[in-house]
Amino acid sequence: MSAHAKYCARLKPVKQLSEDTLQELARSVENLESANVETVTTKALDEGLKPDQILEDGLVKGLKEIGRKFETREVFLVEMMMAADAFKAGLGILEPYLSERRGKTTSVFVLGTVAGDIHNLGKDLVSAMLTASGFDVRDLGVDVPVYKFVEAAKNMKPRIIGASALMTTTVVEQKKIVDALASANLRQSVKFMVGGAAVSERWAKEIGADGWATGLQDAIKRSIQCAHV
Amino acid sequence: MFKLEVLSKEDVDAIHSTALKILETVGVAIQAKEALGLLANAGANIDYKEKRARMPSSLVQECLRRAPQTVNLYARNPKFDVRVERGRVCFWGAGTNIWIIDIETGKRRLATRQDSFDVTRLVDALENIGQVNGALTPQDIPPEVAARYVHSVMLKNSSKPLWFPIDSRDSVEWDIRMTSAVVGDEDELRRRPIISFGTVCSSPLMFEEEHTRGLLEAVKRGFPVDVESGCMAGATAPATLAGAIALTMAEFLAGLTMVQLVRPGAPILANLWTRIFDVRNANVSVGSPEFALLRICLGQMGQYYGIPVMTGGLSSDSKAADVQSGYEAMSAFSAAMAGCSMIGEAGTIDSNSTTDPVKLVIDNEVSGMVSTVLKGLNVDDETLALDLIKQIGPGGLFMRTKHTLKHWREQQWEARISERRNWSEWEQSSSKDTYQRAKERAKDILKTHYPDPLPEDVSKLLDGILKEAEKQSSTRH
Repeated sequence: MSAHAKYCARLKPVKQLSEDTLQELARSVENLESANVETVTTKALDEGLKPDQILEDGLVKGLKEIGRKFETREVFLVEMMMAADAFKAGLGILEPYLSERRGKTTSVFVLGTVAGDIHNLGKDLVSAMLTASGFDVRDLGVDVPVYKFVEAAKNMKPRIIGASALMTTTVVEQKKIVDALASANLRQSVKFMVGGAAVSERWAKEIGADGWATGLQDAIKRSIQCAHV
Repeated sequence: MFKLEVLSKEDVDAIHSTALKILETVGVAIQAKEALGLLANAGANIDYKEKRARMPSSLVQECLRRAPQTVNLYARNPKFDVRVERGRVCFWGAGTNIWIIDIETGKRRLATRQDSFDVTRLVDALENIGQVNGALTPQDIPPEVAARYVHSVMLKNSSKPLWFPIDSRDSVEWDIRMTSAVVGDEDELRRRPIISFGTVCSSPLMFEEEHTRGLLEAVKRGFPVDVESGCMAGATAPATLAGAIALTMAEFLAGLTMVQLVRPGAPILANLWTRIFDVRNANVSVGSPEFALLRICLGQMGQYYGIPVMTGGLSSDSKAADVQSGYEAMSAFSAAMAGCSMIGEAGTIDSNSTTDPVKLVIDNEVSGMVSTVLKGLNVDDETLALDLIKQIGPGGLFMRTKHTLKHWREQQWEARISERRNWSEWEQSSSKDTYQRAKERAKDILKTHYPDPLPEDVSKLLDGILKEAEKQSSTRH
């Protein structure tokens, strides 16, 4: 066999090449390696793979595997959060190239801690879990004034807006948000959920929220329900 | 005096120097401009854009030197005054929770105004609980006025020292006004402050705007304060416990520095709740053994700083006042023996989210046991009783002697709900378990205990101020 023929025999077919890269990407997410995820995502793009496929068969696949391990209690919150971070790292690179299909199939979830409240632990945990559940999460941060929630409703076109309040003194902000959405004629176009230790079902109903949660599991379960209603 | 220790001197030094380095290099984010200005004038390095204050060690150490080792909490009835210092322990409860266990049904429900009234009276009656630390957040009242209402209920229904959380500068102002009306005027209140205020650092290393403004106001007006740091290892602090303690101390010292700059020598308590975030259960935890261990360390750090430590020990992760909540309260003993001076949160379960009146009675019992252990014993000729032992000799009975008559009562703490009788006596008196006995006592207290009332005109004055406060809150919201 000629040297050229030998060389060609060693080359993997293009289809297998893409499989290897996507597998590597999924594994990087599972291994919680944000930096590596960025590298391999870029590599995948350079290899000419379709961005939607890189997302589904690379990033989402890896995140789903961590999600499965979370369900069976092989891994816990720490891994979940880091996997979500790794996923987002890759998504950050892919985003400009993704087709409109993602916007149609993925629900946007706008999340924030209300004005006067700077607690972020619960919100960050919910954000990670929502990402793992397939939502496109936009985190507005903490101490978020009412008008920013309204702006996000206008500009980001979310399926759900979630407002977190950890203190009995800031829970009243949640009512202000829902009232402001109504005043801006945006109330009908979005679901509004409230969360945090100061929230109860009674309060949620009183202010006209569509959903509520005071625990992580509940937050995810009810968000999924809310998104599909 | 007890001296339970786990950290070596080198450990304590390393933790303290790490805390100082955190304050110097990372600093704290303080949302209140006036606090940043205060710190800037004292030589701190301020980044106004980031609202970050980096404090030189010399400033922190100087402020630490100014802080007193004893904090006096006064009460409407002076017999309930509390001297908080190392070597003494005071228990407190029952929290600002929105949830309560219904005493009749045993089920969890939202708290009401009636519950705030009942819980205040309960804490007022329980002989081993020294401070009324919140009285729920009733949900049958608009949230913007709930806290002021609860504080008026506390002022009317307990003559023990009271604790109010700081919401804002305004909330402190209203609380001072209401309390001044109760004792006469603000000067009299300042002479014997029957309220103390507490604020909390948002871990890691952040002080919210209104909380900070309220803290500075409370200190300026002469009230004892506590600064709480409750970072959670694995979430808002490093997963490794030593790092969590260092972070806690940095947060507390930042608060202490601000306090001492406003008023040198201002009474301040370290309200320390360093614990783990339970990763496996995705929840906060107050009953884990790590918190018990951390409390011993926090007691030691308090000793090192010469600042009284306020902390947990009576709260439970359990969802009922059951065996788990009982064994988690074991850590109240180690906290006291390690020198923590104020132990709470009596009457709470569900990781400090739910108040249980029956648990208040149980925790009162535990508090009595811990106090008894902490009392220690005297060793002298009278207590060694050698002459008596010689007199009674082999086979004799000490029970019928004058020495026993003289001493047995003061040597034996009286249990109020613990079952210690002979089996058949217990069986014949309808075999009640701990929960049932505690519930009976709780109901009995609620039926019969009415605290020292306020004079009619004072009560009316207080109601008037409350109405004003409510009106202002409603118009603002």
